[in-house]
Order: sequence, then C-alpha cells, then structure tokens
Amino acid sequence: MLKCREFTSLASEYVDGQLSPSRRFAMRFHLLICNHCRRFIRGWRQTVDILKRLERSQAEPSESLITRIDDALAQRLAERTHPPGAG
Amino acid sequence: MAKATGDESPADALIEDTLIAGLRAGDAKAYQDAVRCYSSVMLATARGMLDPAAAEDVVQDTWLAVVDAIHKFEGRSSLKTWLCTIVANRARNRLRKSSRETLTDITEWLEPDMADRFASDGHWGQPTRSWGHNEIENLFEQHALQDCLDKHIERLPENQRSVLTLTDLKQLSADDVCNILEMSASNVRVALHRARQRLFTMIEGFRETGEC
Ligand SMILES: [Zn+2]
Repeated sequence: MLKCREFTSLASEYVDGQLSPSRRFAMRFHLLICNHCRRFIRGWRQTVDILKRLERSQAEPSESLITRIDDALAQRLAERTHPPGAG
Repeated sequence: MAKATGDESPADALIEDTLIAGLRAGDAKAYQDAVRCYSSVMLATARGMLDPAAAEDVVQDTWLAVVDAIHKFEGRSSLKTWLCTIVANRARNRLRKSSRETLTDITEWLEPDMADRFASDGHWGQPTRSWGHNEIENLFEQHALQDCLDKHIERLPENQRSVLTLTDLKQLSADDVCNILEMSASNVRVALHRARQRLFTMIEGFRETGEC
C-alpha cells in the first residue's frame, strides 16, 4: 500500500501525467482513503498552476538589452559585408 | 511576431523557416525579429545559471556568435532549442571559470524540509493546512506572492532553478529541457519536483503569515 511519503514523492509525476496506469491507480486509491494527501494535492495543483503562469519580471529582456544586441549585431553584420582591411 | 512557446504550430514553423533564411543571408531585419522572438527564452536559460548581468552578456555574445554559426545549423532541433543550447553551453563555461556548485546526480525525490514532515511509518506528521479552492489565485493577484516567488526562485540551487524556469515558467518540452541543460530525463523530473516542493513550502509559509 502506498504511503503518504511516497504519494508526496510522486506528486509531480501524478499531476503531470507521467505515471504508469497502475501507479496512477494506486495514487487515486490513496487519495480516496487519505484526507491529508487530498489536502496536499489540492495545494500542490494550485502551486504548479501558479508557477506555470508566473512571469519572472526580471527574466524578461529589457528594452535596453534588446537595443544593445541590435547595435552589436548591426556592427557585426556590417563587418562581415565589408571586412576591415578588405579594401 | 508570435512568441516562441512549447508547441510549434505550422505557422510558427513557417515563420521559423523564413527567419532562418534571413539569418543565413545576414539580413539585419531578420536578426532584429529573431532577437525579439527568442531573447526571452534565451535569457531565462542563462538566468537559470547566472546572475542578471552575466546572463545578459551571454545572450548578447550568443547572438553575435550566431552570425557565423547559423551556417552550421542543420535544423535537427528547432531554432529556439538550438539558440538555448548555445546559451546554456556558454553559461556553463562561465560557471566553470568561477566556482560552480557541483551538479550531483539527484535520486531523492523529497527535499529535506518536506521529508521531515513524515513520521517513520510514512504517514504525515505535519500535514498541510487545508487549502481553499481559489485561495492561491487571490494571493497571486496581490503581487506580494509573485515577488516572494521571484525571490525564492532566485535562491533555488542552480539545477533546480534552470529546470523550473524552462519547464514550468517557459514551458519547454521535456526533450528540449534535457538537451539544453544536458541532464537526464529522470534528473530533470527530480529537480523539477524538488524545486516545486521548495516553492510549495514557501507558499505555505506565506499563507500562514502573509509575509515572504
Ligand atoms: Zn496520504
């Protein structure tokens, strides 16, 4: 019989649909009989949902970074078309 | 321009083919479009391993390298995956130069904090408090929770942070994440689960106290 500890270990595989049918059935059955894990999985699903919607503000490229890359690329592309020293 | 996400539609593939042709031809406009399309996921890849300034440098260096390397791109992966792989390699090289925390094989599915909550018989010793149906939704809208999550994601161990960022936040496919981070599929799953546990525990604390 699946214990709460194993149930918790497999929570991501369960909510992401990564388990074999028999494992999945064991997880479902555990949820039927275990109040604590029902509570846990409800919070777990909400946590995963929120993470998937999280936009990490500081991980988005800033306008200044994009401009910097544009400028560097423009210079690089110009060098390729007219290599310095090639006349 | 469509933002690159997990599953490529035929339209995205067409845009990608057009872009690649433009990049090969050294077309400045194609580079500008590509920079706007892919820099977000590239920066996220770099930020999994590096601080903000170093991550920006790696993204910029990668774009410059693409000018020469695009001719070697064979289309075996998507352009996005290819770009992220270059970013990840460059980020890893930087880490090796500084002192990198060793990336050990992880086999234990539970974080120590979570493992401690179980009694020796495998049942909950400290179970989680009951969760309302839309509770986290309401907290999320207050932005304080988002700020707190940002802060805690920043503090995750490097491999957990990389995997969580690419899998949950950027929603790349499992194959892409394994290739970009050079991790086995099972290590990716364990790292993801452990990262989620840390954030689950953080959110539990936030629910109790309202503070980060
Ligand atoms: Zn249980």
